[in-house]
Amino acid sequence: MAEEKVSQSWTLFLGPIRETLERVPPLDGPFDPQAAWEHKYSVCTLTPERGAKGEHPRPIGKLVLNRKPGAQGTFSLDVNFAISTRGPSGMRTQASLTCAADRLASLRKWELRSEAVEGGKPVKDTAITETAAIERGMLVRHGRRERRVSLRNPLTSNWTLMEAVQRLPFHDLPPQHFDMLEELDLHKPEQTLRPVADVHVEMGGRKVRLYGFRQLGRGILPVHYWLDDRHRLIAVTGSLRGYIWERA
Amino acid sequence: MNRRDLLKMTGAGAASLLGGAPLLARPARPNILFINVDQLNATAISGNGCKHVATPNIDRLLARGTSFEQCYAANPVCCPSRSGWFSGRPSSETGAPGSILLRPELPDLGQWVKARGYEPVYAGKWHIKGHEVSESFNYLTPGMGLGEDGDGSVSRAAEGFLRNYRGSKPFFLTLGFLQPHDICYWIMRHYHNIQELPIPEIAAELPPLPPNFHFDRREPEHISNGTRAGGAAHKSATEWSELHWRYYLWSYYRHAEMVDAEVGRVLDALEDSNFAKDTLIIFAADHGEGMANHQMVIKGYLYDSAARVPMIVSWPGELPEKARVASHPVSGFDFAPTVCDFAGIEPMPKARGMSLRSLVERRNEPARDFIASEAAGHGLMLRTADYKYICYPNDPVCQLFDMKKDPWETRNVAGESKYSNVLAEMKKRQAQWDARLEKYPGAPVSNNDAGEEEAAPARKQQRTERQEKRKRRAAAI
Repeated sequence: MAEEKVSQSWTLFLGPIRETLERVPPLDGPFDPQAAWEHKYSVCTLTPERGAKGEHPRPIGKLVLNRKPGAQGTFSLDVNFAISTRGPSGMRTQASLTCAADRLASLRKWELRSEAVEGGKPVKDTAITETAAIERGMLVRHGRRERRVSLRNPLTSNWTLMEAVQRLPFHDLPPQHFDMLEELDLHKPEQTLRPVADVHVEMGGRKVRLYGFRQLGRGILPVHYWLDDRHRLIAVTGSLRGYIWERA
Repeated sequence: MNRRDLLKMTGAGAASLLGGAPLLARPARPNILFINVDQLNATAISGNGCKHVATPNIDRLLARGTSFEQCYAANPVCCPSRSGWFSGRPSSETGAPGSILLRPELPDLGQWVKARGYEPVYAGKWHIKGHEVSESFNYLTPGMGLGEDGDGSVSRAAEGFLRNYRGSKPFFLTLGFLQPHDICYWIMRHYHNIQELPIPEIAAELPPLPPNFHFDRREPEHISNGTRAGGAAHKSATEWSELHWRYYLWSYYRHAEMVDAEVGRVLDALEDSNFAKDTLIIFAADHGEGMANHQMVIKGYLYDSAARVPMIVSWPGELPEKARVASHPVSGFDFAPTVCDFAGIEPMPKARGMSLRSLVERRNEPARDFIASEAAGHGLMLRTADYKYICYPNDPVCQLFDMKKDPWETRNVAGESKYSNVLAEMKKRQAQWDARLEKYPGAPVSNNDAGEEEAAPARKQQRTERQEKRKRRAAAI
């Protein structure tokens, strides 16, 4: 794909985190996306300044993904997600998932716990625990009550997609079609993921090639996933939400 | 006869009209869930016929409730619209048109229902200066200034509350979602005209421009020389190509879908809770979004794109479903009286709206000739079932639209002799409305009051205070 074409989209889709990326040191050493790993990302808001004078990501939280290979073509993914919304208020979510090691990291089952926090302490009446599983084409969720939803497409989540893109080929990948459960809850159907052109960025004083995937679909603004040449996910940029590599 | 008996009698009347809905099952004091969203154009809902957006959850509410198709914001800007909801009074009384203020000495709806036996609970956007939300409500979580980052926290907190609440009092739970307000940031990022579509894959999905994209330029100068020329967003939009406008529309619909998903999480949580049968749901938006109508973006003016909003009242099993009130104009001022009516408590003092309960229950059409909406710059809109009138003080141009014949507001008929009587009647109504109000002149004005010379010093002072606050915060970190 022509890099010239990408340079026009640079400002829109990667520009908001350009300066922050420059401060991330290039990641040396091998990386096996199929193996066990832990990645930590800074969660940022990507708010343009008035008059479109510039964009500077503002860190608002952390996302830690911990992957372990499992039996029979599966893997487990532990998710630790915490954001501070305003002042001392925030929300934290922990989830343990079992997924198929297929192209989309399709969901098999999970447990989730979430609660609002104020000054680091849980806010009364806001805790949620939930378990869910995919059973014979049905999503079966056990929260307060059991809820069954029949599935028409492969089902994945925003967190598992961050695992999946690291196992995808950069080129010659046909568009992947699926439904997404954002934060393992919000149903966003008719999603598509496809590769976009590579770009060169400055990271820690070095020029690094990043490989991109673009996700489009109902209920989302375009989401772009950016990976280094070892298939390590370096950054994700949504419209106003970004995830930027912090450490392994 | 006490109040509870009276309510049961009202319920009996309603039940008979509902084809025998169970009389005694309806609780005298229902829980009330108010879901509000920010900047949702009333047309950007699939259940209202839009083919370019999928909002299955708002559609669920449409299917299970009564939709007011001619509902207007108290003021098409976030803060004064919200103070209209929570006080029942226009911003010219609570602060000033366009102001962010709800004077502390006036009660808000949280305080009002709390003093009358309800548990007021809040999550998300409040945005009303003069009242501390955490003092008026049990505040679960504030969300944040961006929907993409904060709305998930609001719906999660609401889900948790609906699962865990064990209090003895009925609750009044308000959820303030930010989306699709994030379109403001999308516009900031897309000020400059695009030469080609940055996402070629969506070319075939781009929505068409609205029928009033080309419009009657006989506008109040406050709009033609003020709003259009004053705000960076409006100014930049004047240079957009049709491709850019259509890309903006496509993006706006995705924002609307984002908040729809959050609404779905809340509705699921309510359905799964112990409160499903005892909870009245009201859904509304604080104002709309330009959506290329009259080649405008965002809000702050009185065209339908910004001023008309969705409003749905739903209580499955208790109130009519799949109902639409198509021609009776209603207002954001009606929200507080409606809540008080369903809650069985007296209306807030000097609330300027009226309860929509009788309309929802199809008992009778309450007598009201028109509703009003205010805007920054002391703009005023009056809407009758047939006409819409917009004026600004000392402005040589006013607007009159024949809404039955011209629902897209493409022809200003204010100067046409055929409509001179209608215009005269509207001016009489304007005098009636003004005479009814106890205007409060001393409040600070918001940035949305661009164009008012007298507002400039106040705005400068506000800016300086904000800058100082930011500096202090940065120094503290």
